[in-house]
Amino acid sequence: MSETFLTHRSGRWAKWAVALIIASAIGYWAEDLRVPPNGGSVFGYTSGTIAAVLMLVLTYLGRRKRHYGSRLGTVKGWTSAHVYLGIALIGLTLLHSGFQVGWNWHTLAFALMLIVCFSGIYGVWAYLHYPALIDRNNLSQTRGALIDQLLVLDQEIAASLTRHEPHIASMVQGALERTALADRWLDILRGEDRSEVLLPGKGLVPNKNMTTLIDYLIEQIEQGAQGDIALNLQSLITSLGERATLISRIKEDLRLVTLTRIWLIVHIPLAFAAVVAVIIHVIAVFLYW
Amino acid sequence: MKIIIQRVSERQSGQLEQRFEGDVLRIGRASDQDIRIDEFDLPLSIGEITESGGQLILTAKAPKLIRLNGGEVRQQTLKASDQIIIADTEIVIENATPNGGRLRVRSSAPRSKKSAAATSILAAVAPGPSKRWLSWAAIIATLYLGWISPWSTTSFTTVKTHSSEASLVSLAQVSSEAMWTTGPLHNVHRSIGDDCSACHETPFEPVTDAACLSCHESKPHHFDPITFHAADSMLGRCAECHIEHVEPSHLILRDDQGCTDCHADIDNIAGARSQLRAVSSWSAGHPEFKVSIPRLEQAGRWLTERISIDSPLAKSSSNLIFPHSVHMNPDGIEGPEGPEQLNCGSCHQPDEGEIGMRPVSMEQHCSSCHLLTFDPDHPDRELPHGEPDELLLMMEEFYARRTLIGATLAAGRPAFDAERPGRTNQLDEAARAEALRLAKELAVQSAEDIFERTTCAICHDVTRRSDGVTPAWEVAPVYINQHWMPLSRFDHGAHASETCESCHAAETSLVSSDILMPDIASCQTCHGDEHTDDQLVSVCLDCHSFHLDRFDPMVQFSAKLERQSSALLASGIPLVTAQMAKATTPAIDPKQPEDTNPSSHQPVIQKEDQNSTLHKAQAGSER
Repeated sequence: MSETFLTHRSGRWAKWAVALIIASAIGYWAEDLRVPPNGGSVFGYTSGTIAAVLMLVLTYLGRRKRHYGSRLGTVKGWTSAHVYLGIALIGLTLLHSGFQVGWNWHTLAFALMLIVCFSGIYGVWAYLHYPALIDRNNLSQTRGALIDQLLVLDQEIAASLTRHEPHIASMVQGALERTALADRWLDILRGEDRSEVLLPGKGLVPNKNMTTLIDYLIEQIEQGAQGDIALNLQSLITSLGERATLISRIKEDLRLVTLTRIWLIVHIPLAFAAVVAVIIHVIAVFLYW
Repeated sequence: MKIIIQRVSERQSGQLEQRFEGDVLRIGRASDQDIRIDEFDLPLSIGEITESGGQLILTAKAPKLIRLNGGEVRQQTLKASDQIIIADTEIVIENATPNGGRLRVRSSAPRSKKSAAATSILAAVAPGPSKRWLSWAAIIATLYLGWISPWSTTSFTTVKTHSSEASLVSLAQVSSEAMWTTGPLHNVHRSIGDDCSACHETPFEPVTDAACLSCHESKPHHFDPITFHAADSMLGRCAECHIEHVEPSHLILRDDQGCTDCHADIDNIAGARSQLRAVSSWSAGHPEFKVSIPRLEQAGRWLTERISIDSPLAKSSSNLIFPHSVHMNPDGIEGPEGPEQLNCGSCHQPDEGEIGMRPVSMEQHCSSCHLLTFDPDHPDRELPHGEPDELLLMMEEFYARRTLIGATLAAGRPAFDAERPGRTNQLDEAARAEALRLAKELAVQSAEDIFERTTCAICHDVTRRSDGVTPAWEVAPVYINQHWMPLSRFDHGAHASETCESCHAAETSLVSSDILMPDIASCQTCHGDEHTDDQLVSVCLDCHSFHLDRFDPMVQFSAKLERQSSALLASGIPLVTAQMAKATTPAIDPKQPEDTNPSSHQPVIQKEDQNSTLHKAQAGSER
């Protein structure tokens, strides 16, 4: 198995993270305090400073990964450090706060950081879990390739429509045009499909996965279509079935990719919010020294 | 509805006729529309034509895109030669009858740039909103909540206004200053509310002692900071022992470390000669208790001496003869109404708060047994307590009355006639002189008896003072010590589950010079260190206080020291001696007489006014 950001250099950053937590725990429990442990002790200031600097370094990953000319470590190394030190940050800040929480700004900063950390942990899991599922769903093709196949199929179907009665042709062509997949992430996750078809006498009806249209065409055969008409309908149904499979693959690809990336819309904005909240936290505790 | 649709194409010459039969004639971009308008930026459905009451009705599904005779339309009855314009397509109504109607459709649009592929949207799908904009929104929201909004509410920047004065500004203030607190204030400080600047006077500066002392101006110091200014300079801020905003809330740090940090090495810390002994811990590093023993000086003043309780010198010299063992005889003791069993509570009763004990007094606790009679023939006659100099005269007066009125005094004594009516009521001179002489003799006899053998001598140390003719007796002043250990607190009520004897070995005490106070080992049978596992957890502050009433208020001293240092800086004249002299003035608290030795760390030697002491002793005060 190739080296991932988790196994980068035999987990060098995992070891650093464990070392940081062990050292912090020793510092926390070794400190002889006259008050309940809090961020205002020697250990409190030390761990707080380390945690704040760590947060800035972790946030800098966003810059470093776009900075292709940088020689400051590899992006894989940075990602590895980002993951392990980010997890260690949870323990470090818990010790910094002396496990105290309350309805105040300091806990808000901590809570924002926790959301960022746990969304990141989900991200690690997603990056480990979903790519294989996507690969299996897409039959090792990109979404672009699937879409290209769909376009080709649509052209083939459109070209074959001349062999059908005009109302069937326009119905099928309309159904192709009215194929509407979700374009918002919530709808994508729900597997929403707003495709419609205009059926004679029924108006516009939902046509999820082409099923309504296919059912209608099957009905036509059953109602006694004969000869070439029946064969043509049969071949059209086969093509539409292929199209339905392709569309559901694309939909599943969209869903899986969204699941793989969805955490970033929490992780990144709240990371910035957490950094700002921590800066304000530091200013506030010394303002009200 | 039967309608003929005639399509006119400009690019491809020729016409195409299409017959429509149905209820709804649909107009739109989609291929399933009856009138298809093939322009890719149009909606799939734009409008519909239906039949109602023998007329054609146009209903716009995209009203902004469809115009009827140049005007906007939502629903309109169509008539002949109406003109419908949708983008570059014109539809002219040539015949408006529902069955046999005719429409002419003419499109001037160029050929669609791209066939309306069903999948055109799919490639462009992005999961969710822009992270960049969300990030900026998150940063701005956090800045607003944590910086902009609080800036207008912080007590450093605002003039305090009444909360009723709502304004537009306060509407914009979504946060309160309370959001910065790391924990609630202690109960005693709740009245401060959310006025942070009451204590946090200056931004970015720790809370000063001045802020504390502005309210707690009478809080006394821990020692005399003039003498021990080295130690004073090491003393931390108030806030080092008085912690706020912590949970669980405990305003006073009660751990021993705060005390032993200095007291374990007090000789070096004090910076001047101190009477204190080093204390490093309760169980292993606390010296034996000292007791304050009042001693009568030659000059007649009571001085308090501090002596370790395990020293052979630790003997009380109250000048009272009182064997506890006799009084607490388990077989009982002769009382006024027969034998009586006394116990501790017979004489020692707790005070109102059940902290200490009420003073024992002759009148309340002794006199029922110890009658001050002087003449066995007159057991109802008693002498007053506490006035030894008056007693001889009083007895002489008593006996003179008897001799002068001729009562029989004793067997073998000549009787004088009492005064009777009809007789001369004057004794002759010789008889009178004899009567008075006899009275005096009887009085002296009785006085010798009570002072030297019975009544007084039972309890008091009496010395006969012969100054010629009339004898006199001096009763040594008595001082019953009420506070053997004035430097510590002891709550008798809290120890009510213990017996008196478990700490005070009174039953076996034969002499009153025994000091019946427990030693440290006695306390240590139950009380352990603050980290003990099998004893009662006890800390310094359980028995000792930091702020000691016998010292001046801290605020006064800090002012003095400030003046001193600034004066030194200004003039170079050492004011220390002046300050030292000032420090020798008596303490403000009259209940706690002060030692006048300025170098004494613990001025516990109580010096009392000579006259008042003698007066007390002579008055028989048992306090």
